[in-house]
Amino acid sequence: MYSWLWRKLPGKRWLKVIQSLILIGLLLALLYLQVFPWLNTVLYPEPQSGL
Amino acid sequence: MSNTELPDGTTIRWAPVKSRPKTSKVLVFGELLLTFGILLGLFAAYQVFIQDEVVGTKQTELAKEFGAGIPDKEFTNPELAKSVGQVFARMYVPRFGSDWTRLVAEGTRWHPVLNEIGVGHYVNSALPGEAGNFAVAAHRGGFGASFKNIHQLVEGDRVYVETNDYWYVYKYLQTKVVEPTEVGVIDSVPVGLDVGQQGGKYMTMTSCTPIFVNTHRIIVWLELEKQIPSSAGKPKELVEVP
Repeated sequence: MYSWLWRKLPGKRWLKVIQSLILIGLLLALLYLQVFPWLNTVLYPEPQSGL
Repeated sequence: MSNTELPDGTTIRWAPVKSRPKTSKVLVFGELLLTFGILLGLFAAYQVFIQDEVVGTKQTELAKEFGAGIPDKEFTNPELAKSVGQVFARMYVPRFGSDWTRLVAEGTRWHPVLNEIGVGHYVNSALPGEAGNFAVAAHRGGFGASFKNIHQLVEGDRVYVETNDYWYVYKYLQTKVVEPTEVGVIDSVPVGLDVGQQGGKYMTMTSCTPIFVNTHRIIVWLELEKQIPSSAGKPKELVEVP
């Protein structure tokens, strides 16, 4: 999967490295800004009442 | 690949070479598992290290901008705050930091009170300044962790509660760790409060303990010290930042 992606990235090795880092950065941003905050609201439903 | 003719007349026939091994299903499956594991780790890191900062900052901003002369952002008067989620006060706890402030809304539901607004008022417990027990709850870890440092409150500490008409100043009495079932701690004469007596004007802060384990509840009791009309402005102890 990742080797396939590596082959698909155009350019020389250093260009591929830069592109990979950008992709990882985008993925992290998506996770931390959108996915995780949303998951937090979904995973924790209203608890049983009490103190 | 073509054949190679050697000087002695033999021919070497080169077998076609596959450029790379094909990505196998097992390999992809393994990579997916690894990826999933890393994602779980990232999510755990988000919950433990990042979300309190993000959500806490949001709740502080919410509290700071509330009121500030915006007509539809006036506090509901406490006695009128009957439905869950209505904001009727703002809290300041200098012990939690000079810029710590939270809105107080009716009800102790996670949504939309504890998780989004911050501090929730136990329905049917007394209102600020009333005889009885003004009881509130907030998260200890996660979702802004409003009461994260509740265990640091000590003798001499004050908690300030601001409503439309008054500033209520409560002074610290006692801290206790109880079972979640011991709901008597928010009674009008709190069960377990050493100096509790009929007619006292108490405040109770409740939160979970230990942090992220949440098997018990940590309780802090306070007593009304004084009540100042809003017209007198913000108490000077809050204005001067050391």
